[in-house]
Amino acid sequence: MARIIGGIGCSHAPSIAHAFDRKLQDDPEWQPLFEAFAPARPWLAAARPDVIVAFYNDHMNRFFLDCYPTFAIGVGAEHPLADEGWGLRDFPPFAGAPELARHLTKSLVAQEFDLAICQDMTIDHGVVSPLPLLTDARWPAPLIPIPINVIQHPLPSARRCFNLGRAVRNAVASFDRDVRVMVLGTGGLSHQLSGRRFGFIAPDWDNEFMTRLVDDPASLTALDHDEYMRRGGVESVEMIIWLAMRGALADRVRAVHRAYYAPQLTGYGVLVLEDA
Amino acid sequence: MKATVEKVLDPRADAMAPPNSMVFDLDAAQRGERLNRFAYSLKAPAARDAFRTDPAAYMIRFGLTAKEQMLVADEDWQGLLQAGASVYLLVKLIGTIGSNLVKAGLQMRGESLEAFMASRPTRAAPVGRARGTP
Repeated sequence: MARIIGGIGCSHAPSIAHAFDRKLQDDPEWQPLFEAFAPARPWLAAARPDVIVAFYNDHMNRFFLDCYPTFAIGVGAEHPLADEGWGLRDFPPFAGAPELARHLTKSLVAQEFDLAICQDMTIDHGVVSPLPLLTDARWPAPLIPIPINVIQHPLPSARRCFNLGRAVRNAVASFDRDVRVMVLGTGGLSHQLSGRRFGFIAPDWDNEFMTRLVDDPASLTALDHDEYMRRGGVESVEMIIWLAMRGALADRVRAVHRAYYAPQLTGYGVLVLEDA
Repeated sequence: MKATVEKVLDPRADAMAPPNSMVFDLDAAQRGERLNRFAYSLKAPAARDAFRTDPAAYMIRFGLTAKEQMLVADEDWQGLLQAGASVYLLVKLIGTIGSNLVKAGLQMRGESLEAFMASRPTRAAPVGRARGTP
């Protein structure tokens, strides 16, 4: 039987890609960012996932406002990378996992999660920004992308995201093949890109969020979007994506690795979780 | 399960009000439809070249109003957001004209880079180390 072997929550800010592409691993400003991701690398290598299910958001690179889905799933055999407006990064496309993706889609719809089903999915920095800091492999496993709308309100609630993750867990458990599935949830943590409050970050809240995500996710699913935005900045509402990742894990989890760094515009968090 | 956490809000009562914060919703999407279609088009390298070659002609092609064209020409990020542009689409315009997000943000804050960097609360904060089971 397929099973979930663990989850990683992490930020996906384009600045992470910027630091990686410019090889700033030893730059005093950026070295702590790479250090924050580093302990997750041996964990991911040892976890040997066969498939990665990624919860993230598309920053209008696959979808535009002409048709922007609340939830979507990429079921194709290959997922190319997006040119987001400043050129393609030098990475290969992702392999898809069509067989498991078909199963997940059927199961999720049966569980009343009616996702937009995408044969074509283009992957943006929501996945590609952090992944090179987690592994040297390009890529460590085939990908099933599940983008969530966190950019055009009304957004799905934090509880809805958690329940989507729970439904993915159910779906994986009912797949009759021995497949090791890792879940990834990206976004946040605190940051704001728009308005006079640009640059707002809230390290205390970010750390409280990571603590509660491990021990008491229900208290986070109870918060509305307005409170996420007040606490962490307008664009930090992406943090509800981490709840989808958390929902795909067991009720009780343990943090294998946790790190945080907030040098400038974004609170960068990294959290590796396993079922307790 | 523990009870709902108490409300702890940004101390500024107007933190979420424009121009401090602009939340991109359906109203903004409809107000900013032309601007957003224009900015989205800049994903394509050929479109970026075309815009840089003749910005006015490119914007007219996308039906931008005179006011919208002026906001783009002036790189008035705050004005563009208020006109309904999505910040995630504006970053494509910011990249196309060779600017960057920090510069745009400083303009929105009305602040110098030095003052902004001095306002960062945790520049020297250490990274949390790996932790085992709590």
